[in-house]
Amino acid sequence: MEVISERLKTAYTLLPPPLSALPAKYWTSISLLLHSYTVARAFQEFIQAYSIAGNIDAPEAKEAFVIGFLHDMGQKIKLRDKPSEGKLIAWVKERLEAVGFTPGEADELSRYLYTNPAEGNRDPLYDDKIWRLLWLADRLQGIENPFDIVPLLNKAKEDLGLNLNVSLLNVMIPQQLFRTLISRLVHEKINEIQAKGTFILPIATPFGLAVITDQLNLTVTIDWDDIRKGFDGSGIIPGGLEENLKWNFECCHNPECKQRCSKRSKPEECKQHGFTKRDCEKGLYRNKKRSSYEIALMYFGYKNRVKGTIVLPEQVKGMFNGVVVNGVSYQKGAVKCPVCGVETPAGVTGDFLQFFSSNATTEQWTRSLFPGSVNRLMQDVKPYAVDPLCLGEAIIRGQAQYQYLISLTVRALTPIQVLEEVGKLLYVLKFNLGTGIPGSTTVEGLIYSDYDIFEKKLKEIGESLDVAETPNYFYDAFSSTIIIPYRNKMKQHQDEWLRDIVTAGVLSAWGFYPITVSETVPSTPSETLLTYYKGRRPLYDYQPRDKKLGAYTPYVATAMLALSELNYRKNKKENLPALLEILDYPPEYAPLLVQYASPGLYSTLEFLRNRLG
Amino acid sequence: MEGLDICKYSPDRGVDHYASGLAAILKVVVGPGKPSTHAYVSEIRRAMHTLVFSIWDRSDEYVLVVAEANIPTGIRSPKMKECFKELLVGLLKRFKETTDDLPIGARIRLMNMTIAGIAEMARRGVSAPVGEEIYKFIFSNSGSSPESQSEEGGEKA
Repeated sequence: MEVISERLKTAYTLLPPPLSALPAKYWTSISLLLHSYTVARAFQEFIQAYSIAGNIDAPEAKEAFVIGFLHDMGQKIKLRDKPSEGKLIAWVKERLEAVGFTPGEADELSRYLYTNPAEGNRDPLYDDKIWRLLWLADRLQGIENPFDIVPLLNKAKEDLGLNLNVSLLNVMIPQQLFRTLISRLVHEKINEIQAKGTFILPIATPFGLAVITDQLNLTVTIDWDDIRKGFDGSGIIPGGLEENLKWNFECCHNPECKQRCSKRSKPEECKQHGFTKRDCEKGLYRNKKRSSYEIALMYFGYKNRVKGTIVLPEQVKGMFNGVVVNGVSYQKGAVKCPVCGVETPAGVTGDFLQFFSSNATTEQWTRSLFPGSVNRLMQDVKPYAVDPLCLGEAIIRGQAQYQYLISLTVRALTPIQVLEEVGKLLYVLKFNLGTGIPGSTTVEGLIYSDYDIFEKKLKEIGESLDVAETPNYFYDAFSSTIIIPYRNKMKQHQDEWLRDIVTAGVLSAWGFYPITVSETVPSTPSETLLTYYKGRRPLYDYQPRDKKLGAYTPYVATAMLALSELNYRKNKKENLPALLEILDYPPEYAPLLVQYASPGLYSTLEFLRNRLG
Repeated sequence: MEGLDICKYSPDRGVDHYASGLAAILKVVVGPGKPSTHAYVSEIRRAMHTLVFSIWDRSDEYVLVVAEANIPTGIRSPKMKECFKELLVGLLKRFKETTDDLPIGARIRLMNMTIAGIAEMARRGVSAPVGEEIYKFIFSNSGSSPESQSEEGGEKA
């Protein structure tokens, strides 16, 4: 069985950072690595799904991955037009041997850099159907709209001998993190369907989850009770908070306790559990007053559930497309939610959100749709109540105490498994940067200079990948977005800047961009290399798909991460003319800036590029 | 001179190309590991200062003169001298071209960074592909072997 760490080893050996940052194609701001990885994984998944449905002699998982990866990489690097074809082939052969292929196999596989069985659908090594699958995997990356899948499938149908359809599943609720939970549940359901032997392939797109299957009009049903379980099955509300909620709920229904806790000087007990009179009295359920504590336990209680029908706003019903939630009834509401704006029949007070994340700021939970002060927006629409979905969002946000989110929207069509893997890797990479400003050694280890050193680092990262758990990373298949919680408060402003930029640099050097670091995930996905909540600066404020500037992306990524070395040297009293100022220049200057910030990394990068030709 | 192309100005090369070439020569001439960066870049600094502060608007006329006047005395080999001059011309010309649109402050800062970068590369003995090619050119036929040529991959900070 092939595991994720092996695939990553293969991918990053063939295209090591910072070369991983090379832009793929000029119509999408995605890196070559991410693109080739996606094609390779899609090919793998297709073969797997196909061999379940029909019996066929197919390449093994590892081989399929390499074929898919090399095929896409060869196409994008435009090997044929280059005079230095030999250099790249030599490099690929050497790398393939490094990941455990015999020289003979490496010879055979490197052929896929320039032969294109996906175009002719013919190659002696495997059956034509296998190449049809590669063609499909390849073409899927070339479209932006999920509806364009249909004509692709029509072409492939006959060759594959399958009657395939596309169903578009979508959940268009604006609660980003809550949606990742639903996306996860849907993913699990789809895995169950696949285990039964159905041909089913979920593809995440920015416009919803496109499922390729032999069934017509696929719908996926999830239970509201699954939502209570949360990401790891231990409950969506963290254990301690759920106990507190229970205590508050009981206290609220006990007149003596309620009176005691409602006094101006509260007893210690009430303070500890976070009881407030307002939360106890003001809450809305079926357009009538009810305690907020009761509502929270009714909707999201896992171990201490309170009985009651789950009622959601009627508007929400229309936001579910192809996904049915069991155990929910919809009702018209008269009260507006200050966070998302729906008219809700049930909800909690606004301040109640603080119960779940005491240091959450208004910017973090207000809707990003309409910027501005919530109080201003809401002053005319009283009464209001925060609707249950926004409550769920606040609960998830409160779980991990973080301030910022690193988010990445993949513009190409990506199988859902790949989205999950990429999310995991992104989290592990961020985690590997450690706390505090990374010393130059930490960052240099993350960049390829010597294969033996880099291999060790890859192994380390691979090991942490296998234990990475949600909710450390989130992926939303309905918008093809990956979200990583990011905590960042440092004593000095400059340290914060440094850490953010170095983190962004490492991530983009590993092929992950366009990155956004902000308090909420932007509703329109960004296409610039880095969108930063503290402002924009020209070095990274460009689109990698730009024909001219895009070529500098590996340099820009390296310049950003080299800041850590520069800072280290400056702290050692080296006479250096500038630090953060290196971010002030457009991408064309990046090679010069890398040379200044880190001569070592510059030389690494130049030699790598030289070897690829 | 045959093979001199690698040292010569060409508009498709970035400033970093000339900078790493100059650093490669300085590394051989001055020797790596000197405590002061001044030893490496005093001539280059003077040349760049002249370009930025004195002849910016008429640089085309003067670049060659400035480059010729700023060849380190330590360079004996005529081949190396020629290559150094061409690289310096390239550096100045390309720098002028690429930073013409930048505000003066940003240009000066970039100039200082370029100089610091060259000094650091030469002092640490970091090589780049350009440097290797220049060695090949300079030390071809002359019999002597290039110093510390094998430091591929750069040095850890």
